[in-house]
Amino acid sequence: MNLAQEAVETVSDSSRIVTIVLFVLMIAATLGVTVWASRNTSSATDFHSGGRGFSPLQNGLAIGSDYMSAASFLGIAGMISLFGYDGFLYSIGFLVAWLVALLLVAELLRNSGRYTMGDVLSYRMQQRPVRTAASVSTLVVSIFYLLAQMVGAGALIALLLGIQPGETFLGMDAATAKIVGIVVVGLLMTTYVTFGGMKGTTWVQIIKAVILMAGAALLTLLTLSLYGFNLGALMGDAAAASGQEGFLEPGLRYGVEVAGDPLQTMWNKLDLISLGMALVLGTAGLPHILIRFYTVPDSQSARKSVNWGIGLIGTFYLMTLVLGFGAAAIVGGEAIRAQDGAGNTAAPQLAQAVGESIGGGMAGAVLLALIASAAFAAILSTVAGLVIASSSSIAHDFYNSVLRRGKATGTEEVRVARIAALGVGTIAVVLAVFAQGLNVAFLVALAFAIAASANLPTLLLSLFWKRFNTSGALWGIYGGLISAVGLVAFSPVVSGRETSLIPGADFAWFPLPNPALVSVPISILCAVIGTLMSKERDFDKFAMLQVRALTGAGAEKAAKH
Amino acid sequence: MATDRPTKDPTPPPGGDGDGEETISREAYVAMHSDPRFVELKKRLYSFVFPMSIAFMAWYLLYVLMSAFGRGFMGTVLFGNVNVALVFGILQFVSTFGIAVLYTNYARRKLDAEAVELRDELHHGAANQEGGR
Repeated sequence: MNLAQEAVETVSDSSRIVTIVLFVLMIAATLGVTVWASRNTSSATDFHSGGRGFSPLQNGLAIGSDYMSAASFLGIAGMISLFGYDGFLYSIGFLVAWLVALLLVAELLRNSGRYTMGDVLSYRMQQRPVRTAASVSTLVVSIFYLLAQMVGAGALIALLLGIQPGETFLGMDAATAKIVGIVVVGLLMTTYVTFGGMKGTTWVQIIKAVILMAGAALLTLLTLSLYGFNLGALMGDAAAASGQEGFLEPGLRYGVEVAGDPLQTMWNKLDLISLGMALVLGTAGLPHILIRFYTVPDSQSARKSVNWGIGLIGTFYLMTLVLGFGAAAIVGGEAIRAQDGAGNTAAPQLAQAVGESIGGGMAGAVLLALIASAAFAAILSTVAGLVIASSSSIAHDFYNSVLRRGKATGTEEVRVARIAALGVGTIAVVLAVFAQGLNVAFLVALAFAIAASANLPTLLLSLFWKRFNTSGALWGIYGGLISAVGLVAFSPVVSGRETSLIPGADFAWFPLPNPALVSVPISILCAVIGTLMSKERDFDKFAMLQVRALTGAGAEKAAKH
Repeated sequence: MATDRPTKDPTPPPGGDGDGEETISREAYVAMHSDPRFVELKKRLYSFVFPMSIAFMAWYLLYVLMSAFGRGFMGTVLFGNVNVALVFGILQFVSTFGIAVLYTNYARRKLDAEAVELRDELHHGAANQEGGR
């Protein structure tokens, strides 16, 4: 009998109590911050951009927080624990992507925009059609990402509280606990955003980043200490315990080689490249990441905050490497799969096993509770970031610019944003309850693919291509959006396989689960064709945008309180 | 070319609550765009960010391609349990951190002061015009 497995099966009441106490403490702390922030949020700049007064370190922590979602913390650790090297490969795409944001987007966006991605996209263009398109694509990307987090949240809360199928806790079975988890997360994120705006959300994210980094660092050190700080020995044990050939090499999860089927092998490898493309190009097109650059006073601070973000995220993924291999070596793939097929509970399980082998049962319970709380915080802060990105875009791009033709006051815009946050929260909860069966990794990859196809090419062309115009922007956004979503609809993700959403049917003529390899070029092509088909050009506006973006002239300043 | 038309823009960008923005005229921006100092600033920015973006994309693409098609090479054991794949992966972290540091130093030395100078000139010009009215 595996010691770790035994430990998992007896998720003790003491651990549950510690977990729940920490959950409640964290909820109380974040709600306290929200109440404080709501007293300091009156203007539109406060609500959408937190008054632009955050320091680079604070914003860097919040950037890391937006990014290190539960899906990426628990998901990557789990993937490494079950598939070895390929989980690490996934995290590298997530990190390298930040160079696009640093070199090409962050500073220019901070200088030339105001509250949303639509501000920069529409600057040179006809406001109403382009802002409508920007708002649509912001909502689509954010809803998919939000769904991924909420579906994951439901399952995780059930698991983190240690509710096994067939068991009950406070009268809830696992299925009920999942729904309760989704509703609780939905209520909290809506509360943070509606009352606290960007200021409240950012502080919630800063708190989460500190908890998550501290928790992960502690667990990493303890895990390494069991191996005398010899990473090589840990990896050797992980590979041996996994019992899989090539555990320390690429190929167990992505680009799988199917014996006797060279065509499928080729599709699998192309899919790996497509995934890499989506990860690298998607990040700088995620609306909730882009609006973070507006929360600092100027473009130099935006640059510094991205640097902090890169440092934190990079360190975090290196720790995840240790946690993933640690879970494979100490907990073992069998025990992880028994708890959750996708490996999402590998990190919490590792925490318990490491705690127990160092300080006995109580230490295991406390460490498990600590990591579970860090994961819970990770869920809450990422979803809050997504809700504020959506509600800002609805209020600023759609309500003010499209419906009111830019005549709404700041107060009206904030009121609409608060209502929009309620609406987005409600829709996300309802969709997540019905979408519980969806694969979380698929939803995340889809959000990245849409962001890489619909948002990033248009954003870059807008900043750097003189000839680009309204028609080009619309073609680029809608072309990328439709091709990414359309290709997924006809991919093996939706039909044709046993693991598909609709396993009974087969209309999958597109062989790659990840569409980016095709949809990104389609989007760029559409943007170029759309541009050339229209006679519209306004070089003066381009000159204005470039001078503003590069020098910071006329840039929004921090609010004075 | 005669049929080119400028962007119809019946909607001014949203005003929001207004942070007391200086009103820099369209003409001042357009004039600045062809100012030799701005052209130089743009050249300096572009000459760093575009080649560097192409370089790190190519470097990352090489890594992904090797992970997909160069399995034999990636699996080569260097010492102990450390293989080429792990070292290649860690090098992606190192290059990402390195490029961030390089860019930050470059921007501090070659871009920031120049950008601030041009920005202040535009704001100053706008303030003078206001005063003259």
